[in-house]
Amino acid sequence: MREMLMDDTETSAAQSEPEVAKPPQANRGIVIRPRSGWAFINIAELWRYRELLFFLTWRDVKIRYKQSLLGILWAVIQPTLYMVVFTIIFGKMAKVPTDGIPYPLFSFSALILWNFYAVGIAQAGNSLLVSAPLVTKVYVPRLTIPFASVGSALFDFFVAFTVLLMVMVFYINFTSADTSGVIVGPIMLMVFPILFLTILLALGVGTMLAALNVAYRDFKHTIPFLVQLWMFSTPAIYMSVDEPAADASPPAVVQQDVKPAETTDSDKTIANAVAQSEASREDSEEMGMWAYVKEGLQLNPMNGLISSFRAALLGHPLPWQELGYSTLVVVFGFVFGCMYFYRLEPKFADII
Amino acid sequence: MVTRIKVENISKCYRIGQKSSSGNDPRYRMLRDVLMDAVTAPIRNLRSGAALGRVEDFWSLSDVSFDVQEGDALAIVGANGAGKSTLLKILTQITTPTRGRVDLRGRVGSLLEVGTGFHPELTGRENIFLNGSILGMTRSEIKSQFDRIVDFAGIEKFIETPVKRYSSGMKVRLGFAVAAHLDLEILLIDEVLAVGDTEFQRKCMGKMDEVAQSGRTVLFVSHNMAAVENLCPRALLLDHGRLLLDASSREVVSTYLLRLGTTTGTRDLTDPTIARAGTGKVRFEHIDIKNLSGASIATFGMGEGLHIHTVMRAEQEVQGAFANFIISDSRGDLITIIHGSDQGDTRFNLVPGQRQILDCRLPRLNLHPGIYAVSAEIRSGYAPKAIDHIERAVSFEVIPSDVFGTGKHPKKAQKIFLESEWSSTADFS
Repeated sequence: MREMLMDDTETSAAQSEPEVAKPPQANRGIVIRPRSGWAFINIAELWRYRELLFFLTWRDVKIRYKQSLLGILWAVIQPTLYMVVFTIIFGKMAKVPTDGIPYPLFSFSALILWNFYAVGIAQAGNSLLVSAPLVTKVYVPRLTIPFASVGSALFDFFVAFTVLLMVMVFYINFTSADTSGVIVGPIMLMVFPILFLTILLALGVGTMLAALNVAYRDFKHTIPFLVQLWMFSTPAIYMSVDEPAADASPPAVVQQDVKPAETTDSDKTIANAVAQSEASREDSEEMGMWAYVKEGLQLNPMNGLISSFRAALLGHPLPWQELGYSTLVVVFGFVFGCMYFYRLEPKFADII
Repeated sequence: MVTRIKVENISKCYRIGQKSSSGNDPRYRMLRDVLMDAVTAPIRNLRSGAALGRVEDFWSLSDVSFDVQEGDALAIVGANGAGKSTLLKILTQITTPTRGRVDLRGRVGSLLEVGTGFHPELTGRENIFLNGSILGMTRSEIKSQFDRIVDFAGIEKFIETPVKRYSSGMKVRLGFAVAAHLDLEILLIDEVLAVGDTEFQRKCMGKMDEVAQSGRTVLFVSHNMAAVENLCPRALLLDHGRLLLDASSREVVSTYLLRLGTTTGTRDLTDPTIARAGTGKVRFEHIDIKNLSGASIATFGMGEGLHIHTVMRAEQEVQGAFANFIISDSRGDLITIIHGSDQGDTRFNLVPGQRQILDCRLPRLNLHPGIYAVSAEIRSGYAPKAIDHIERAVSFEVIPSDVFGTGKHPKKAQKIFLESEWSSTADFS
């Protein structure tokens, strides 16, 4: 019966419309299967979405500076304020060793790198929760989200870095005798590989924090605390880690104590000798303990990275061994962080 | 002809368990819960993610399989909770299936929400680029479509102001405008993206129609039965996670509606579980659709007439009672109300215990083919509250017939038809 009811003119009218565009014709295939277990980054996918990575970074930066009074200067103010405080407390009051480098320069160069790292991992850690619709309502490669947070922190770094460069001009050494200021030389190019390593570390740690924050909802309260603890474990920011405090050296103190006790000359010499050997033993004990602490500090790659960054920036010789250890830790941290993220990723949309 | 989507035995399981030890939803766990659980249940395997206590599996999708060829426009229909959105989420890769496999050929654009990623501090222009990039468009694509997007949304004057200053309607229009210009091989569209005022809704439906006709592969999830029938020739019916039916959208829609519990033809209304509103002084007991010869039939050709026959019983005394019959289509839209007082002036007085038999004859139904529901109500005077009201009490079907005597009728979905007489003469002057 339906054949009797023919198509009328309406459908043929639709076909003659010139406006209808031809549909797109790409044929890339994807297979969707249940996923579990460890996996490494899907680099091809990240590359395809590189524009989105740029847009998300740009979004974070734009939002931070829209409607702000000083705009981009905020990127400089935080490290500057820290530098002022550190100069007063660590530089003048505690007189920490700085390898002879003027304290403001010493701390500011370290602080901008540290600031990038700290802000980068803190923002990355919260990024998935803040941008939850990007996980639950649409598909974007999830890795782009914490990566973009690190990217926006990097932008701030470059702003502060430009200021630092301008400041550095005042400290350039024009005579080769003075080793405390800026020595212009090819070693300065090392700044870029070191920065790259720091970026990798921030990506790895930030990504892992992001995943942990989704899996365990109370984790976000621990992030500020973690960052602060990390800062205290990175003494390279505010003091030189290559030598213990030179002013409070044990031998001088011990000798003064012993002096009033001696009576005769021979006793004096013996007492002195005993004091001296005791002093040197204590001295070496101090040295021994300090060596252990130094070893422990190397587990924190930021120590090596910051010392190296500062050294390269100022044209001083680099602590190559420390840098080597740090590189190993960074590479491991990046790979592990990303793999952990990918392991948890299939569940994100179900949990957030 | 490329098979754009091949779905094989897709299943998705959600773990629903008892609360974890701190009484929270085990879906997101607290670090302290993990520590507590580790202390209190050492035998349990932490890596499986099981919460403390018994865990239930909720299968939101079980063994769904279907193919979609290039150029198909396919609707996915089902009650709330049937698994439609879950299926779309799996196809979009937002969530992973528990079992099964999907093969996709081509880029997928998914529209599960308008304005994803919009940030209130950014301007309209900036949000267009951001949103477009999130949806999968490249920067050059967005640039080339930019003017068309702004034009579609109608916000040209406001394109440089921050989105936080937009009205909610403007935000929605902008979001939909970006999504509407997504030009990918496979499009997955969820639910009511066509929101906003009537004018804009019309634009949205028009755009979706254009997309469906254009040869793109489209999957469309909706509750809007008229839209489903209009846009898609084929549909899937999901029920509690299973694929019940894969057929023409017409067939799927009528199966869906039948399963919703709208009985066809005759219905006994004394069942206390029937949803009804009203003061209850008088209650419908029975409703029956008959053809003009008096037979209880519920399928009519276009243009035929029918009787709506009801029996009601009074519990209390009522003066000046009359009945209205409300005819609505499968989507739920109102077609017309047949007023027992205005059109027929049939009023009656009732005393307690009295039954009243009421018959309403519609000599000719100017309705297009489709399924229609009759809601019945009893009122008295101009009182705002009805005495008895049963929504979609019974339904009937109109099928195509040669009502014009020409052997033809227009295929495009319409609600009613009007008789017409034509004359034409030549004019050579």
